[in-house]
Amino acid sequence: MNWPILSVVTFLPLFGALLVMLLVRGNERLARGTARWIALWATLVTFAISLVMVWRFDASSAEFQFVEKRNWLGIASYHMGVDGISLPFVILTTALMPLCILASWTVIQTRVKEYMIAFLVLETLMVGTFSALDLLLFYLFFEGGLIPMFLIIGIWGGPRRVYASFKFFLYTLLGSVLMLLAIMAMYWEAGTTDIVTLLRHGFPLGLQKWAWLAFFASFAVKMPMWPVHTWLPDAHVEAPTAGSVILAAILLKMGGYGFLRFSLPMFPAASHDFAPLIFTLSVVAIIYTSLVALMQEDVKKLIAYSSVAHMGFVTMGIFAATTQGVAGGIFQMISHGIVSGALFLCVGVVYDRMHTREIAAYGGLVNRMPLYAFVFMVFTLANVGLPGTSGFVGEFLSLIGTFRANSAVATLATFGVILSAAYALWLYRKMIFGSLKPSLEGIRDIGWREAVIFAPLVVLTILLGVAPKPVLDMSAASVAQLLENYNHAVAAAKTAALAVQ
Amino acid sequence: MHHVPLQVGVLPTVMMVIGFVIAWQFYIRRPDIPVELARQHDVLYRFLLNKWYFDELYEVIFVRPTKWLGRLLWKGGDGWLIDGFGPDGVSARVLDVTRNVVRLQTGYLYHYAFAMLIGAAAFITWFMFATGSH
Repeated sequence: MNWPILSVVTFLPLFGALLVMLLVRGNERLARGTARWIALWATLVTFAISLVMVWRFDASSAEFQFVEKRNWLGIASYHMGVDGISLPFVILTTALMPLCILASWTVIQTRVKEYMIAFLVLETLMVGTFSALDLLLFYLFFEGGLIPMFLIIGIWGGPRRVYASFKFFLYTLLGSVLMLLAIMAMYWEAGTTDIVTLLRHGFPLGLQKWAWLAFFASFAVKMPMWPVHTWLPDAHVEAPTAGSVILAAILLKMGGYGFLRFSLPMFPAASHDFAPLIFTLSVVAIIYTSLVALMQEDVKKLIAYSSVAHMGFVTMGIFAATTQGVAGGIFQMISHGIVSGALFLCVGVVYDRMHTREIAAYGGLVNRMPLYAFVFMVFTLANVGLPGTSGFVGEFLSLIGTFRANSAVATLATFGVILSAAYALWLYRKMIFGSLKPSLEGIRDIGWREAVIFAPLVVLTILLGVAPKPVLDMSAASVAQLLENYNHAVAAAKTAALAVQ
Repeated sequence: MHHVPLQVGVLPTVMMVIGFVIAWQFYIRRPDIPVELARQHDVLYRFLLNKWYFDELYEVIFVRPTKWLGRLLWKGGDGWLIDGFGPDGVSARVLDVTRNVVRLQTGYLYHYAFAMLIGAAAFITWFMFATGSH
């Protein structure tokens, strides 16, 4: 069989969006139902096909696979492919999308058709971001993703949705403009925007440094790293549940993916030089945002701040440039995608019933919602990084990897683990235990639709915690090659610097 | 293996037995003894009852400063410093500037004519002096 599987996975959701646009007709009720079912089937089929990719993926090779290349635009080309670093993110995206559609099933009652179109377009752009092998194509997907997300927050969001969506959009765009400048400079230097060629190009040190900073501006906002993280709590609080899930689970990972795909391999010498900056910002993020998370009164804000802290571990691990650090960073991103997405879904469950996100409004939920209490517990503990959950593997690996590169940084980051236990368990105690609030007496436990959403996430969280090997194996070859090239380049830059002296 | 002296190996068992005997004496045979002891050594009793006041110590040493710091970083760091000088500050300044610029657009023809006159005068002055000095 020789069909363009990657393009199919990428553009099938877009095709679904087209179907929604064309086929959704009839009265209000019927139209909503059709839009939901088309969106669900489109995302499910996409997920199924992406699993075929996992099946056919050769994990022993570090090369790009499922490669497709066509001429396009003259300077750029339509060049797609995945390696062990990008495939996990593609799967994470396709796996979470059906759950997001399901989570929006009854909550979204206004403009259902447009909502589903926005989500399907967003999926295409996210998968495209992770599988583009041309800088320009990557930039289009990367930036394009902002638009549906902007609409999702701005139209279906909470009371302060307009402020939040503009903050999100402008923050992210500001960083990305600098990245576009760097992309142009790279094109003039190397004569191509092809990522595979650029990976082998070896840019001069001067260009490396400022191009690294330009890419950093974009990815640091996306990640988000301290101190450009303040859009995230606002965006999360105002976004509808499924929007928060996508934001936390996938969009944040684009920053980390960008560091792995561009910063580290294309600008190795600059990455090496700027590693202390990344370490500092990561450690500040881990401790600072954990402390801030501790004091939040809004559940979604708390989880948003905890996301920033967890992404601190990722950036720290990636720029430690050790096998464990990079593998840990990737694993942490996948795990955080599942766990934080699930936590936002958990918040969505009680928000749908009570229409408040205030922690103080809840208490004693275990009395009325035992199943919910269990599910929430699994994800809370995974967020803390309890051994046996996926959160532990990522945090532990990135800490070990960083310890080898810089033990002081790793030691400070460990305080984040303690603080994360403090805020997560405190949140759980306040919401789930204690005496039942009178206003919560009629609250229902999770229904079958919610159970269908949570079941795979609970299984994955524990499965990846006990047996992380499949994910680690998938990326091992690519990570090894990435680090080999990185170490070569850094060593070469050092000898060159010595020769100049 | 390390050689462990016999006493060390036996000690836990001995302690267990002593504890067992005391507990049996205090809580089963003569339950009035602990009540009496607590009455006689009131301060010591309350000290032990409150677990050496460790919870209160931790509250003062760790919990309260942490909460205070968290609130400070949230309201002061994120709210005032980063948002205040970052996105909110920038957008507020942009609004200030545009508000002032808007005020210049009065719609009166003589205001515009006056501005043009000043501009022309400034330009001619600059032209005369800058080129004349050659």
